[in-house]
Amino acid sequence: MNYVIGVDVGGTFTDVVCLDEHGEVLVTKTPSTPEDSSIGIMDGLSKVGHMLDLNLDELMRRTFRITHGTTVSTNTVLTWTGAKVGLLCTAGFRDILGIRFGIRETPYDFTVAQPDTLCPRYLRVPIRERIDYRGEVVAPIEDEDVKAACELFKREKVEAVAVAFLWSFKNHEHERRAVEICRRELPGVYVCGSYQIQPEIREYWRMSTTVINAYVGPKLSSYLAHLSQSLQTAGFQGQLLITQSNAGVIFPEVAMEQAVRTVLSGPACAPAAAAYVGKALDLRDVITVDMGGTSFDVCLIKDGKPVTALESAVGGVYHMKLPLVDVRTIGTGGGSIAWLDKMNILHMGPLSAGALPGPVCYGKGGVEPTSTDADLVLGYLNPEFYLGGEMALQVEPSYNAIKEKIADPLGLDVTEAAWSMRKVIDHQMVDGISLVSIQRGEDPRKYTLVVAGGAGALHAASLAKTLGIKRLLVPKTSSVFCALGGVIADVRHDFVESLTLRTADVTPEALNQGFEHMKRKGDAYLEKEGVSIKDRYYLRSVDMRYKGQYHELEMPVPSRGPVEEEIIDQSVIEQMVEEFHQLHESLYSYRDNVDTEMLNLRLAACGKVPTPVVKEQPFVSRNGQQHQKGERPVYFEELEGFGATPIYDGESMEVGNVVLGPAIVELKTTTIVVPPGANIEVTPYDSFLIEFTA
Amino acid sequence: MAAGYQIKTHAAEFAVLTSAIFTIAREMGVNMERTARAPIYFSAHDFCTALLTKDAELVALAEYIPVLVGATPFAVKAVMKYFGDDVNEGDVFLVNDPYVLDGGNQMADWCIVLPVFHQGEHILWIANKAHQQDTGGGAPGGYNPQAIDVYAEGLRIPPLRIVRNGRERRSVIDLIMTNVRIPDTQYSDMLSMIGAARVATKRINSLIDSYGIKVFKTFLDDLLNYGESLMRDEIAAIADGTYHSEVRGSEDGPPIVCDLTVAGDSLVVDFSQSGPMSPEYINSPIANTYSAVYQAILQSVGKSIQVRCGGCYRPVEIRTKPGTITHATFPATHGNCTNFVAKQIIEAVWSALSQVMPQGVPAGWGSIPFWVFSGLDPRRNEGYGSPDFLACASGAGAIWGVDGWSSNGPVICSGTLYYPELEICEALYPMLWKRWEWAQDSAGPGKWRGGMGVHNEWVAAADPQPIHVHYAADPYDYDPAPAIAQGMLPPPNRKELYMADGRFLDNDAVKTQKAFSLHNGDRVVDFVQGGCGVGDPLEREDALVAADVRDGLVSVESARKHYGVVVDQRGILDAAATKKLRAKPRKK
Repeated sequence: MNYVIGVDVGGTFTDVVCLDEHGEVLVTKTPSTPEDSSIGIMDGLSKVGHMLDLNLDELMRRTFRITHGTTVSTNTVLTWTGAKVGLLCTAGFRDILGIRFGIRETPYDFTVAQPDTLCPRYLRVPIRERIDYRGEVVAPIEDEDVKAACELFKREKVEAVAVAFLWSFKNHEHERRAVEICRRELPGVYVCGSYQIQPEIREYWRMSTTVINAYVGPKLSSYLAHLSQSLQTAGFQGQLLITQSNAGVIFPEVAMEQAVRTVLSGPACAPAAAAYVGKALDLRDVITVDMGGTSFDVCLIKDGKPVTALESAVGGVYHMKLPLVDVRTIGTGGGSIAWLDKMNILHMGPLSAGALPGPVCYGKGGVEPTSTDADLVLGYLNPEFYLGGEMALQVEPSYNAIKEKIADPLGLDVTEAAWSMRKVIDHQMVDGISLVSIQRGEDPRKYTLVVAGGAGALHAASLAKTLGIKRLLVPKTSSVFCALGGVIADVRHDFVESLTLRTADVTPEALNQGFEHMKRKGDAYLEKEGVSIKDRYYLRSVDMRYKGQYHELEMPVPSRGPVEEEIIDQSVIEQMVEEFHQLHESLYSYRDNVDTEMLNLRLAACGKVPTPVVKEQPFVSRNGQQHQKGERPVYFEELEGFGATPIYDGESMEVGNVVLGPAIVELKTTTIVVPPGANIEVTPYDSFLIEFTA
Repeated sequence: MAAGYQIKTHAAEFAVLTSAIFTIAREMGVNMERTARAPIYFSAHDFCTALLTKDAELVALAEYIPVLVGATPFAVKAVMKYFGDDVNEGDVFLVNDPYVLDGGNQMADWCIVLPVFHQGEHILWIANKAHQQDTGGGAPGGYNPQAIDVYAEGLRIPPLRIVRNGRERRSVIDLIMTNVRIPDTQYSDMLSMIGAARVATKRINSLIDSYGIKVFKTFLDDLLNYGESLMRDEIAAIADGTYHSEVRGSEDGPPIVCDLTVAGDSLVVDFSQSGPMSPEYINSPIANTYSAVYQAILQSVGKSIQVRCGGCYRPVEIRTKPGTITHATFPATHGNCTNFVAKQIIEAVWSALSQVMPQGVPAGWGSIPFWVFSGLDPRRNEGYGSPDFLACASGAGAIWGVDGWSSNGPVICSGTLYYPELEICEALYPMLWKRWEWAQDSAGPGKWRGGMGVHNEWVAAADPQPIHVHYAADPYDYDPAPAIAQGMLPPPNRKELYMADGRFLDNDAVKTQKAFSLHNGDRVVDFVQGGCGVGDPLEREDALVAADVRDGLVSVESARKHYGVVVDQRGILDAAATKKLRAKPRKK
């Protein structure tokens, strides 16, 4: 038997997912080891081996691929532990990085300090050189400026150098030259040029992305080298792949060069896993939600593909521009604290009790009532069966905290206060879902909600009801979605080329040439990675806008057959213009009659990796009654109060079992709330499907 | 309203509706930003969106430019007065004139006003205000320093119905678009403003459908009362008294005089002692004055309030006298009021407040010596025109405990103006930039230093076409205010022109002549000042001063002279010499 393995290292747990040739899935969690993540990884792999009755060496020899999702890069930025970076910039423009195009996130509160840059000003060195908007040299590059900068960097023990000159995406000769000199003068120092990282118009975004790359590059490189070594020592001879924020995977060598592509990759693979799990049930349009202790992630998947975004800000401050899976995160979770302001207005969060002290009911010193406390008081959570009984919850302290801090000051009874807390939390998540659906012109009612995270299934049905969503899927593997998403992710390399032309002046030849050029670059990578030609595919899109607009819409090139054989002709361009008008109208309520522009061409060169199909389990019975393990009063808005509600043992329920709401289904890692008017069924694919019948 | 007001809406519903209504206003802003075609709007964010009650009180808003928000109720009130009951579903109105019914703050800021109906009942107003690329009149770009009256400043639009029953009134819109210089873009931007309002209308309707009209109306009352209570609570914490300040552009310029009285939980901000109207185009129509005062109060007294609705305005009474610089009357020129005078009004309020709450008030921001440029781009044979936003990158003032933000201005935007990227500028305009970076010693020293200003420098490259530039900013050299608790002022702004033929025009020459035609090789140089400092610079931590020197932000000389810190070029501190220097008795 052969295996593919996905490893996802989170802050608390390292998740390992192992798939065999038949699609059998094995899942395990081990504590993460932040001082050296590879220790936790090797522990997890040993544990999997143990479950398969294999020693680590045998498991490693039979594993032909390990996909690894890491938060090393993201955390490096968030915790300010990256390399000492030097930046070479065009003389006269030393502060583009610091100016951050002038933005202040809190325009009414000046007591927040301006964020520090990832590269201090004395290490931002102006270089005499200049290229103009046509890509023509206005002033040649002065090599001695670069050499002098290298001397400074040596003295200051700089660990990484970023080079970002104006207009380098039009003509990268100066950047290339500077990179070359730095590599020669500064052996052992990590060097990257913006033309290699993000060759697009808008110098701030290009520079900021490149500086982040330099900031995380050295640390990620040494981490990956160390991990590869550990795996090899353990007997692994297969291919290690690293997940990117675009939910594709790349080879470690590429990840080292393009380290920024792993920043914000943490939640990126979860939507792909949701799509994978949903595919078996033929769900192609899904919204994934993941509610944990401190945050709520939401992502929209249309026709099997997660929506991507181009612009993002790490920690809300450090901007980068790269295609990434558009997972929106809001600070709402089970730990969100309820509080009243001096005018007695109820707020939930943004403060969270986190895991420590945690909600009041944890009994670990938390005194502020949280969302979880409200869920407990309302009967949704079982005090004896939290985390499968590993942690006992205390109802009375929760009750008292809500009474004292919320109910009494508002003149409400405790139930109503708890219900109010829950409604506010639910609304924050509804807002989050609207952001990725309604505000993008997508009707959420046409989507299925795929629910993950410890607290997700407690709230998901309420959210669905508010939004008019009829179906929800709760996969049992959802707690290891990121690791699973990595296993099934395809190899992916993103490229961009600037066009900046009125559509009327764009010739089909220009598009064909641009895409062909990027395809060749992609093929070179895929070749190196051993992806056979039949397993390759390409995603092409064009950033379009009305003449003079600042923001673009990314329009896919209409596909009319196998892309690699397809030649763009005038009719394809016309079709794209019409599709742009339509999308603009659906998003913004009007279409304009002015010219359109094509700004950038984008191509993703992808390689399919062999993925086992989700295994179908045989039907057992429709009747799930025997899995009822008890009954307790649970509050439902539909019942205008508490109602005696049957509790089911989700772990023992069998394929085909259907239960009518109101009901609670308890699993080790989560609790599913099924409100009146909905029913829940165990699917053949290791998941629960909730449907509203009314 | 008495403190301890209890909302009538259910606790959960109040929280949900508050967040929902602000989300709608913000989405409206995002949609405008994403669809607009004029740089002043999508990049400079020179616009705002607002939802108002039927009585024109602000409910929720997305303040892209803080100084515009407080003016939206004026536009709505003008429409209400003018049209009375003749307001119907599917109508869209346009207003820009500052004098007809006091509807506008500045003529280039066009305001779209649109009634929101739910099942036939008029519930709310939407007012979206955005600075236009041009508004007709005697100079491109809406800034005409040589105007002799309001007619020369632009096309005057009193409350005007431009859409009836969902259908554009073509002839009316054509009349307007015939009188502006870049009609193609401006028409698109009008669609953008209306489009955003229509999306919001849909959202408001579905919100009311979910909660019921009764709950929604109660909620509106509650929200405004809530905002009012929060603001009263903040005001009550300030010591009672009257605090006087005066901000003056120059020796002979009209003073802006502020008497700010704190009485219990109310504020009176009285500008009626301000000087007479100026012949310069800096007179402030009443909508502009109100809006600037609200901004100043919310950024100081109300800085911790998140729900910045019209309720927060209720405890603030503003007094002005018609015919003064802070209450311009027809037909006075006013084009630069949102920059120059609004800034001075804000500074006057902060200066008054700094006497009683020095730790809670921001120090003054640097002024912006900006140009407006326009012409025909020979590369595409298309017109262009814009303020030079890169010359707006002044530094923010410090506040107790925190250095000012660098290149964050102007204060009327407070960090909401996004400077366009240089590559976008060079693609859009026939110019080559030589320099845009922080200027050494441009900030006001202090224990907490002001933010840095910039050097901005570009060369014309439009031959055979000329580039028309006119100096559009502060007509006077003046010091920003306030510097607080022995904090210091930044050095003044400077503008210079280096002509290809060898002529040189210094700051004074530029300000006298104002308008120029530039040809290839002519070079424009701006020095944009930083912000004011807070606290005695001699008390600034010496390591911070050394780091500023190492970073090239503060010179070795300034470190010694202003901060009493002895440090070399590389930022290496001479601790002993510093100690000695700082111990010397100060010169008064």
